[in-house]
Amino acid sequence: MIETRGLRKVFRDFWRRPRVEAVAGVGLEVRAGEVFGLLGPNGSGKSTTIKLLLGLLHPTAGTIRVLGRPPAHTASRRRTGYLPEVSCLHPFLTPRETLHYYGRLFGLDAATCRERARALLAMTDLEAAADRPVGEFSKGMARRVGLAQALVNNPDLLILDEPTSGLDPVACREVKDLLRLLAGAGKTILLTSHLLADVEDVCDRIAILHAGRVQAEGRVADLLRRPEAVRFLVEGLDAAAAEALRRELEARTGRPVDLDHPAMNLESYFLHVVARAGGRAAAAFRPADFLLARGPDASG
Amino acid sequence: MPSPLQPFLHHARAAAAAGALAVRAAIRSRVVAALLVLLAAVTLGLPRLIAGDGTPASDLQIRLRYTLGAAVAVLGLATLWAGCAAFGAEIDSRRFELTAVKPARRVTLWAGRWLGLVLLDAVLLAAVAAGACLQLRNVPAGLLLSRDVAAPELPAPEEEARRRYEELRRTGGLPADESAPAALRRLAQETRNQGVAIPPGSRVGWTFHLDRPLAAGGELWLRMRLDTVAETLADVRGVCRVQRADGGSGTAEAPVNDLARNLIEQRLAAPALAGARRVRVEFDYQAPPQAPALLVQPYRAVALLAPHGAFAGNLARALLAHLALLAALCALGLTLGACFSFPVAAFAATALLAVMLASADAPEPGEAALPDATGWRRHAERVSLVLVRGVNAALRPLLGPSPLANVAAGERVPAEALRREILWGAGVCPLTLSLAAAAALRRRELARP
Repeated sequence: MIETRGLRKVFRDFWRRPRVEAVAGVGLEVRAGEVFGLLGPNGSGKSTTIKLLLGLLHPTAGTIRVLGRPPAHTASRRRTGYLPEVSCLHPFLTPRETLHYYGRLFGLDAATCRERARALLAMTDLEAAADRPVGEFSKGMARRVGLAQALVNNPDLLILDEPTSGLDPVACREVKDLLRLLAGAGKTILLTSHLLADVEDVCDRIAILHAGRVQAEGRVADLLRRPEAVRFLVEGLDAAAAEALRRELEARTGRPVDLDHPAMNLESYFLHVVARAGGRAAAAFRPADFLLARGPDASG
Repeated sequence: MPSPLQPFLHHARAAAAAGALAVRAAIRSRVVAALLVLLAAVTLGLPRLIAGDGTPASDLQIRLRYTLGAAVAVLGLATLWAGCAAFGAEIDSRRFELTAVKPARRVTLWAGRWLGLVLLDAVLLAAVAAGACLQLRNVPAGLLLSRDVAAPELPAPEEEARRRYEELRRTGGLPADESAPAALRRLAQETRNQGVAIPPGSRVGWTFHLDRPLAAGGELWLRMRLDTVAETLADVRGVCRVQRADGGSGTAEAPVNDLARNLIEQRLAAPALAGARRVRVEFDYQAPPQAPALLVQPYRAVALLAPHGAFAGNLARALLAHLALLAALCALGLTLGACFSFPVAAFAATALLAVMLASADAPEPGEAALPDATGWRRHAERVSLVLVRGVNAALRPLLGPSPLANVAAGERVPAEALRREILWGAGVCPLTLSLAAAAALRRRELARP
């Protein structure tokens, strides 16, 4: 779906002198149907790589193929959805008008635009605010509108730049659930994040960028596995029995053995507390509405 | 199976969406509201500020030429800046990133925005014109005219210049350092300016060819501006006479009693002249022998006016010509916004507009404008001369005499001028500028950090 070779991007100043090399020879391959994560600290070249893939920036060197074509080709754009790092939406448009506008840019007819907008507004839990100007929205709500517009053409390829940026933990979980659902529906997703938990939760494969270069790439499970270590998980074992087992293992391996109690991660605990307190249901995003009620796609 | 019209429909939908967005942006950002207040202030306030001579004719001039003209100028500036903002501000604020990754072509987005803004201009212009027309209720109907303007049948200035040039060349009367094109231009200009003296008691006459047969009623107006040789004020007393020059019968005459240097417009009505295509008009200068001779420039200061169409239709033609100019300004703003950031585009657009207005009345520099420079300085002068001529050639079609001045003077906006304005303003300019903008948007990096 996406292939880059030797991708370089050097930003120049007004006098065309090289200022900074943001991307330095990146080679990536994103396969159909997978969720691929681009990780890296701030300034590592994630967003620049994405903008190169979308044709918003021109590469200094290297080749890019998106859906088998150059990134600026209308045929590949027709099948791509994009959520930028900051949802730069028109503040005077309502979410409904925003979705209608971007739908029309994909060449969708008015009836299809209306139907898509209805389903996407339901999916992103924005029905109640559908006719308020986006300029009045919180960052999280604007992010939802941004996500909805990325799906308006029912894309085969979704490129998401920091999709959970600005969202509260509940909305983050919803977005991740949505991404899993979209991946299950056969969509290819490329996302960037510096939130490792987000990437770990949803990505099949990742690449870690630093200083514009790919430092590591592969399946998440493969990269995180420690084949030299073994973990047992036992429920209802008392402390004395656990200590006896630990001593036995130390004696057999001749190495120190760690013993601890597994813990939930903070996100799971937060969601558990919110659900217990009767807060927003964990499934405020209703992706099934959109996925089941799809109309014809943008290609007609 | 996809329809063969599918690609066209995709473009049309994208253009319509881009146009609707431009209109919504203008309306919801309160630009239109502010503009309406400003236009209302101009339309209602300006006639009270400008002092006329108290006659209905001057009132008409003020309301049409100055008030409507000022409103068009305000609209032009607003259109130019709105055009700059439509791309420039959107790219600066990074909103264009989301639009740019959609499969709509850049030229389609440009065309949609242009159409949206021109449509908005048309509505605002119509509102201003309606406001101005409401104020014309008290103007006598006899002043609300629409007339074709016919020039006297005279040799074309270029032909006359060629004839005089050949004569001067034979007699060696041409300056040695003047090139042939420069001499021909000078002689043509002299022909246009040449005057004919009218001594007291003499008669002068011209034949006019009308574009269409004279309407029933045979109503005509002879317009002339007479001067004295000493450029002094003098009584212009005499008789104006009109007769068919195409073989038919019928004459009419009217007394003239005015002052030299005034624009004299003498009405002549002869029902027998109805249907005439060629007429001869004569003026008998009836003054005592000691009175000063009068001077007239037939190429510049004599015309015959014949009714054609209604005043409202003529006003609509003038507004259409102005809308074409607004369309060109909108195209210029959009393209500059596509090439530069909003502040740079707005500054460049305003500066260009100032140059256009300043050069509107400036004569085209001739060969004689070149100083006696030598070497590289002479080449530099030549290059700048070519540039100035190029800019003049590009802008002149859009900077003809104001059509509102025609309407205020009761002259029908010439069809050729109207065609030229529409062709340039709504055709050549937008087409050329849209292609330039599309190329710039393709080349420009739209998401630089």
